[in-house]
Amino acid sequence: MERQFFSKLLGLDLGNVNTRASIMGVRDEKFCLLDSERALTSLGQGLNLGTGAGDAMRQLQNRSSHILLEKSGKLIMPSNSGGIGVDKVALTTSLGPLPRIILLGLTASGSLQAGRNLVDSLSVTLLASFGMDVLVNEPYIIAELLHALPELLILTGGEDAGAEQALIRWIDVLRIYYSLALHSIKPVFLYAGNPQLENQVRRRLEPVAKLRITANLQPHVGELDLNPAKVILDQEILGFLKNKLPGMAALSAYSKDLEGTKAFGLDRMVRYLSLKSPSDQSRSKHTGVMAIDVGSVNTLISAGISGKSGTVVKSYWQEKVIDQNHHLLEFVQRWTGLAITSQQINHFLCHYALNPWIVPENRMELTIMQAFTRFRIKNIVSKLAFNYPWLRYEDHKGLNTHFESIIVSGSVLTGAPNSSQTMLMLLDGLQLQGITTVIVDKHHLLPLLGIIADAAPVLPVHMLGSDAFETLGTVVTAVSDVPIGKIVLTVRVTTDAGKDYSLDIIQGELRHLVIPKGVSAVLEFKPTQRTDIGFGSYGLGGELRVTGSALGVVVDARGRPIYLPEDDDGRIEQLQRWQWMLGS
Amino acid sequence: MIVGTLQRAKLIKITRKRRLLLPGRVLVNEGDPVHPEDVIAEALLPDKVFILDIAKSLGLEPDQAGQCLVRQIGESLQPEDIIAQCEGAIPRLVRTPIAGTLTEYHQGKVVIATRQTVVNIKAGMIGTIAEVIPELGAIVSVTGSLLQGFWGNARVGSGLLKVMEPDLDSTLAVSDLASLEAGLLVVAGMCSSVDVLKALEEKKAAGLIVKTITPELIPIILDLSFPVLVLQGFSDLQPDPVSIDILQARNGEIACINACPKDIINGQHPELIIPQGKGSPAEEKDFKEKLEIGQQVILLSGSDIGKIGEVSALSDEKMQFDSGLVFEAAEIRLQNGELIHVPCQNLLIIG
Repeated sequence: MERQFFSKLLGLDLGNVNTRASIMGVRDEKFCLLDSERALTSLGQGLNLGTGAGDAMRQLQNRSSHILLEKSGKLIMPSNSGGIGVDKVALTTSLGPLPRIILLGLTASGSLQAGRNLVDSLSVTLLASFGMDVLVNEPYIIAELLHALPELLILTGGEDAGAEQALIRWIDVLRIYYSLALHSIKPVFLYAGNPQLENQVRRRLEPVAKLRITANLQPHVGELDLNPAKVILDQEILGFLKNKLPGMAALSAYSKDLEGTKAFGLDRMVRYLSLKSPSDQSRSKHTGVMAIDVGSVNTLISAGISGKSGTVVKSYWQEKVIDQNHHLLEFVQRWTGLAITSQQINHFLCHYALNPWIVPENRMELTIMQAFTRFRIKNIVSKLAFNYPWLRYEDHKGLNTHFESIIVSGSVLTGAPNSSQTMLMLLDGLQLQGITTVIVDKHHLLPLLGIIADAAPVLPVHMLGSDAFETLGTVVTAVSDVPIGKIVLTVRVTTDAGKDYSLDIIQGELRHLVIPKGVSAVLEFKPTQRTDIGFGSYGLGGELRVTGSALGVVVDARGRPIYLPEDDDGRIEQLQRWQWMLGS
Repeated sequence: MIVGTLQRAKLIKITRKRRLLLPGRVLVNEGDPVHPEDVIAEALLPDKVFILDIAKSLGLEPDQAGQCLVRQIGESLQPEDIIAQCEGAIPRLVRTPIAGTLTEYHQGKVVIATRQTVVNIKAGMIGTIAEVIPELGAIVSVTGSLLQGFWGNARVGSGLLKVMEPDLDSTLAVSDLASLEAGLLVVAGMCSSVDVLKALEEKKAAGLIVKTITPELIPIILDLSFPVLVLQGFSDLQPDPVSIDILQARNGEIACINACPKDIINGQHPELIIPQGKGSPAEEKDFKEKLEIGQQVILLSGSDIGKIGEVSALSDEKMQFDSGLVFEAAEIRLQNGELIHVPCQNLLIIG
């Protein structure tokens, strides 16, 4: 993409419940967030997305000094010398409905898994996936494709200069399918397989299908190259939304090529950050970046280390709740810090599933929603680890890959009553290891920055260093097998404010070390021989320099898996104690 | 603030669009009366193919078999029709074993499309065809009572309304169904028993409309043969007097249920329609409307969840709730006169 020069940019983020408008401009020779507002998304029959976007812009205009709109409501572009209007618009969306996709490939563990990784990284619905084993019955698979009525077909398989025969058979089958399918409902066909068959694909399928060709998802065994396909798939998703949702095409006309789905933008930004993330000399493991977004409808996670990255989107959790998933209900019951019956939890979650835009009015609703958020986080990181084995995660023991920073966003996480609750949902859902800085993306900008990055690389760099991204705290996880109640770690805190102290951390504890904003501190860690805190091995300590933040330093010595008493009273007391320890 | 609506109206003009996902043939005309099971439009979807290797049958290489084809692509075939023939010392021919349409030839193989499935769209309600949408479907309209609900099991049905108890306050029991006749739309307060659902199926009930159900029954209800419409939700909620009023007044009349899933994009709710009625019909509300003072609303959260009230005040100032969160709030006067505050987002306008 051509580099573009501008001084003022409007970012629009269209969510299923909220639409956010953010103004980014230049102050003190650097890009920064000038202001941000949100309004309810105008999604539904008879509604136009432009209404909600207009409401967000009007609210922003009324609250701040930034004039964006003419009296008629039209966006002023470009900006003038008086600073009125904007030069560019960037757009991200996580809206439904989702295009329906069928994935075709060769083997379950090879090309189909690569295809699954692609499909899982964007907001689509996977109707079915078929491997080469179904080719023994070509009439059957043709009938299945005809009945399914997908919006998009993806064919992948065969490494570069690899398997051809099975792919050729797929091409023949698809030729028959496309010649039978009604013209008005023919799906787009994306070929992402062995490039040596591209000519054959063109010859056979271009006359009958809207064809798109991209790089092989798996050019060599074990090597994934999903990024080119993500670009095309993202474009198709946006095209689908522009056809389905009134107002989407009009908003897109403002943003032109600065647009993408939220998952695409987040994935791109995390990939960029993971390349930038230095490997810390004092710790032997390579570190990386993770971003988690928990919204009313969608859950997104993206993680990257040294250029390896992966993203998973889970949309529409409502079905899991309505289907009475027992594992989900048991988990939520376990992590609810109030005396609430499983029946009350089930009733509320089903009600919430039917009305995902509702907000928690009282403590019971809040605690159930937050317990459920822990489930959503746990569920999605587990899926990410399944798709990307370089990410080490176990259901009971939590995340065993270290991330230098974790960036959190999404109304469910950032909209908690206080930052302690945001931190707790994250810690309980992920069960981190090592030392990690948690950053809050209050205005949900990270995906937008991923969309803008190609056109204006300096903007994301400036924005990430600005106060639009607030450090929530530094988390130090002490993993030890000593019994509950025994010392696992001693910490000596030396601050530049003159406050020095030492304290022992006990197994089972969650401790909060207050280091206010504006204060710097050096923490010296001395773990016991059976405790690992992320300096390379058990018993190995070290120093950590931190700058003050909302929650300072949080030491999590609750064990892995996090130990919760079996009895309800003990469990509730423990959960409430941890909330109290963090100042909740 | 714009919030969602839920129609609960004694007499209203109702129009519903019924359309196929793919072009086909519309089977009704403007002005035709329809019932829920009537097919409005249908389309043919190619369903089955038969692949015949004529190269192999003729003993030829795949790239040689094409010149032996004696049929055109798109041609209809009957069983035993010759589709390929080659002369020579020993003439050979290939006959199709089945009827169908010759669809494709490639590398020695022919593809015959042998079957088509009919996909259709039904009226889903009692009404009249107001407008035909060429090749796709029609708009059906009726004037009557409308009760939209929160959840349904995606089935359609119709029958005479049978309100089991006037206040919808009790839990339906198997014993209540002892003398139930077949073909009735049963209306009850709460359903919490698998046995009740089984009994309704045995009694060949046309459908079930309940105030609430226990969520554990959801997987079973999804497999039932008759439609189930849940008016208020999943816990033991106070009955909604608007719905009770309508159901009591129309007890014994013909009604239809479309227990479709809620669809925000297409503006669909699961709903019960009772055609006809006395008086001047109101206009249907939009799917979402601006919240205003004087509107009747249903509460979606808090200790008064499920109750009906009237918006008595709206403020630009946000308010902090017991959860610790701050939202735009509406002051609601409940039917017992109590004044409470509710986040605007947690309201549905009813009417």
